[in-house]
Amino acid sequence: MSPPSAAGTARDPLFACAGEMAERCASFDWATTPLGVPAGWPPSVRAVVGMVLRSHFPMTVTWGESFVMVYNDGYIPTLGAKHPTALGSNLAHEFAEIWDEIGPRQHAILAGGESESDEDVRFILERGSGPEETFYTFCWSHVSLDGQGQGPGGVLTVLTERTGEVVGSRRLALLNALTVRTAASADPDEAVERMVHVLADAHDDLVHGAYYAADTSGSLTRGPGFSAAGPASSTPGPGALAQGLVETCWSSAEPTEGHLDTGPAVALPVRASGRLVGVLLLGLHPLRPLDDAHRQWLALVGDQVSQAVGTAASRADEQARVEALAQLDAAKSEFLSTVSHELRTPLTLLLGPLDDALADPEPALTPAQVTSMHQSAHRLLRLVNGLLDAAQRDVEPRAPVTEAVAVSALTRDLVLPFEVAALRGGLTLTTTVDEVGVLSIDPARWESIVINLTANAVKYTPSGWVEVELDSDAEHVRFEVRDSGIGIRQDDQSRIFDRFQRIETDSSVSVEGTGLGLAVVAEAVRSLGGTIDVTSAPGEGSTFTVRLPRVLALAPEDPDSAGARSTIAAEVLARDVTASPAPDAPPLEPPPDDRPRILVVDDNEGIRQRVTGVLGTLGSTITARDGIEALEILADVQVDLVVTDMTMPRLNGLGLIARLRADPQHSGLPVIALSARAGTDAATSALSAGADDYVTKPFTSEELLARCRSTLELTRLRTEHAATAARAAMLAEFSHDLQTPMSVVMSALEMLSLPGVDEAARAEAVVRARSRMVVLDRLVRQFLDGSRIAAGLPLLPVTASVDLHDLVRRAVLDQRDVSIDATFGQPVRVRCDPRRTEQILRTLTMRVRESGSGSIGVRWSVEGGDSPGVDVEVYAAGPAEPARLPRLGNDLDLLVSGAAAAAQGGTLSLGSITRHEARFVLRLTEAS
Amino acid sequence: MNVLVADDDEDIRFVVSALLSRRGWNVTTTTSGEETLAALREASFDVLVLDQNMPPGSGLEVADDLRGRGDQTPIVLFTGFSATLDRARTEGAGVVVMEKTDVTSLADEVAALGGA
Repeated sequence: MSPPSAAGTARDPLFACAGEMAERCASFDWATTPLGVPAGWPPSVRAVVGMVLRSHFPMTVTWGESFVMVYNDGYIPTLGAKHPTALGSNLAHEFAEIWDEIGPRQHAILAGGESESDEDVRFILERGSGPEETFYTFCWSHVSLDGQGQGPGGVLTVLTERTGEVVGSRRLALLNALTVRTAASADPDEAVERMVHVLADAHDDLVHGAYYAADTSGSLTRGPGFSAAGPASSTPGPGALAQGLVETCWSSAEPTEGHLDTGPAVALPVRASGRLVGVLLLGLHPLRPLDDAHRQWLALVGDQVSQAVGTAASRADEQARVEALAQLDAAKSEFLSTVSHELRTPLTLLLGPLDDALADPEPALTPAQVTSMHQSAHRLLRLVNGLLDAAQRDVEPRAPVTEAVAVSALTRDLVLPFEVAALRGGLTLTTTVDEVGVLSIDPARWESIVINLTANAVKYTPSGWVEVELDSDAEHVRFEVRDSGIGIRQDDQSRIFDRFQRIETDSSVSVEGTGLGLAVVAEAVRSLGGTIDVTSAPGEGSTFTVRLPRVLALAPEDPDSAGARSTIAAEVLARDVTASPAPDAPPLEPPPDDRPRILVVDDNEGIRQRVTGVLGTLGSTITARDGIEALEILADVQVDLVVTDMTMPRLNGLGLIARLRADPQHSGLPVIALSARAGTDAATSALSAGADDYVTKPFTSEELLARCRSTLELTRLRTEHAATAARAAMLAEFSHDLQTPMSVVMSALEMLSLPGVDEAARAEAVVRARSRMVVLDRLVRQFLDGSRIAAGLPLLPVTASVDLHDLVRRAVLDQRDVSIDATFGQPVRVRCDPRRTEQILRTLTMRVRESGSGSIGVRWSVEGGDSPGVDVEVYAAGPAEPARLPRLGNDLDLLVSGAAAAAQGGTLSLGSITRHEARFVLRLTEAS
Repeated sequence: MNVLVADDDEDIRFVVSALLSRRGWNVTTTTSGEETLAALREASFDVLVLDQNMPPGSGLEVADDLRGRGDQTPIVLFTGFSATLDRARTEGAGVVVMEKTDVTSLADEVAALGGA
């Protein structure tokens, strides 16, 4: 029994199944249709309707020429808004929109024709929201009334809507095409063009579209687009509506739907690297209703376009960066290799004359060659330093290396070369350095700050003064450089710390430099956690003040690290900043009277006169009455030959000879003994005492003259030979010593200019090259001093007033076992050539080490009286082997040292030999 | 290619190793003539770059030792000053003499000698 219906009548069992359509059929007034009431339906109709209602697959059956429709729940979506009025209605009316298409076929099947089926067929249906594109897979087949398969009956439609799948796959294909076609693009504009082409192909989904690009001010310009006619790089001007839609999208940064004359449209935001760069406007195909699936797809299209544009943009950026880097690399390599090449010239000028000289059996350098080599050496050193600087700035700034540093001492060492340079330029440079303690700091960055600020002050002060101060309180260290120079304009003061800025100045001061000094200082101050301030006005000088946090070191300064620090950067910078360098070419002095000078020693005036007369043709003479007088004269005057009597009061001939031989300064002086005693014994004893020849009284003039001549000649030959040998040895040694440091420096430069070397190795190469430069610098200077001496040219000292203890400390920095005996008491200042004096002390400590056996020490004392001065002693405590004691005359470095000492108004001598202690005494002038 | 670099100077070892290994060669370093001879007993190399003065021992002593054993490995004598070298000895030992200031040509010379 079926449950009673709402109208009170019992439901027809045909409709007694689940579903909306079953209920509707049950309560439908079938009497209004050609079918009539269900109770009267033929069994075949009832069977088919019952089947349709009970099936879950979308079906409809239409009866007779009136195509009366009976359909099931599954079929409802196909009807859309036509449901439920379509029940019992005429299919032709309900699907009037496609009846032209399907009508004839429906009639044919109704008439008993063959069943028809097809897949994914496109129908434009009206389901209530306007005509829409749909796809169906369907089958139409004949149903007969009499069950015989012929004659009158109806049409059964079984279908599946495929719209989702077909459109979905079409949309997916478009997304794929977008990806694929824009993937390789490395140009955002090109990516947009390609994207527009792809979208233009989507005729069924998109009617038109255009990409609007935003410029930096945010205004949107219509770019490439497409229409039904195909893609175009510029489409006809947009309507106000379109522009409005696009701008709304831009400001909201969200997909925005709207309606244009052409139909529905959507504006999608396009992003690249997270930033909004444009809007894609798409005119949607009217047949595609804007449902959620559609919106989702459009959002995906927007994303895809964003990605394409974004990737292209970042690829373009990447390419630009790679190109810029390659250019920079090329420029850097070219710079380094050009300058590297430039090194060859001064190197050749330096080594060339050496090679030539050494090829000669009597190697010698002319004064002109020495001068040229001097200039080449300076140029070489300056070039290399400049290269190392430039290369170091290219290398990634390394993290601060913190060490325990005695900052005050380091600062004094760094400023000293500038004091010297300032003197040469007529400036006063005053340094006031307080003791700030052993601090934990990066010494290289501190050095940058000190030398660059000091160099700038000197550079920009044509005349006047520079003051350098270092002090501290508990919290901070203050380093200040003040000058009376040309000053800096207010406007420029913020720019001076930028790289490569060099401010235009009105003054005629010619200023060299790369403009990097203050940038380096700023970076160094920043990385040390400090501040830098400048106070300045044009014409009123400048004050630069650096304040750093004062961090005390936990451990004392490591002497090895302290020793490894060089001041060469300061020295080179100082050389460069003085406006007019001292002329290098010295005026050649007229050669002195080159006749030999002879000392005649005899207590008898007659003999003195006679010998003087005889020797008058040979050379000039000086006379002395006895050995003591002779020694006094020899202390002041240089002679080439001594002719001496043997018997004299106070000090006789043998005594004189013995004293002469014992004194290193005179040990090589030729002596001819005049004796009244004949006999081989007397001769032997004179000769074994050290005389070079022996003449017995009475002697003829010819004999004396001949003996003197031959002695002088022999001595000259011996000296020349020794000098030649010495020169050759010096040249060879210099050439040899030059090779290894130059090799390191050249290799370091190669490493900096070639690819395939990692950053860490490059940085290390720079460090090593710099430390060899220190040695190279000293070598070159020592050699050139030696050459000047050998060529008879004066050494030109630069004098400054320096603290002696500081000087000594610097000189022995790189030797670890030298003790400084500073028990003198108060500080002593000396007036000297600091660099040369340091080199002298260095030479002395090395020589004393070779001869002595004990520990090495340096001490000093101030002498007053007739010959005031400061005596600096370098000694090796402990017994010395007499044979190994150095002789001032034979050792080149000692020769140079002696000359350098003399050039600055001092002396160098061996200390007392009798105690067999290896000892040198360098006499310096005390500064007033 | 395997290259041995012998020099008593640490900086020279560092820069020469860097310049040779950037060509893709394996570089071994030693610090004296004695150490070099010991290394040559353990392994063989395609080219040797030897300093002359590297006590104990010297570059020429190593060369003489090798040649005495019939070893013809190419040798570059990389020296600070060639004028003091005994030419007869260097020719007898079949070594190529290069000065330290020609270091920028060293890699090319090693490449040529090693057939790389």
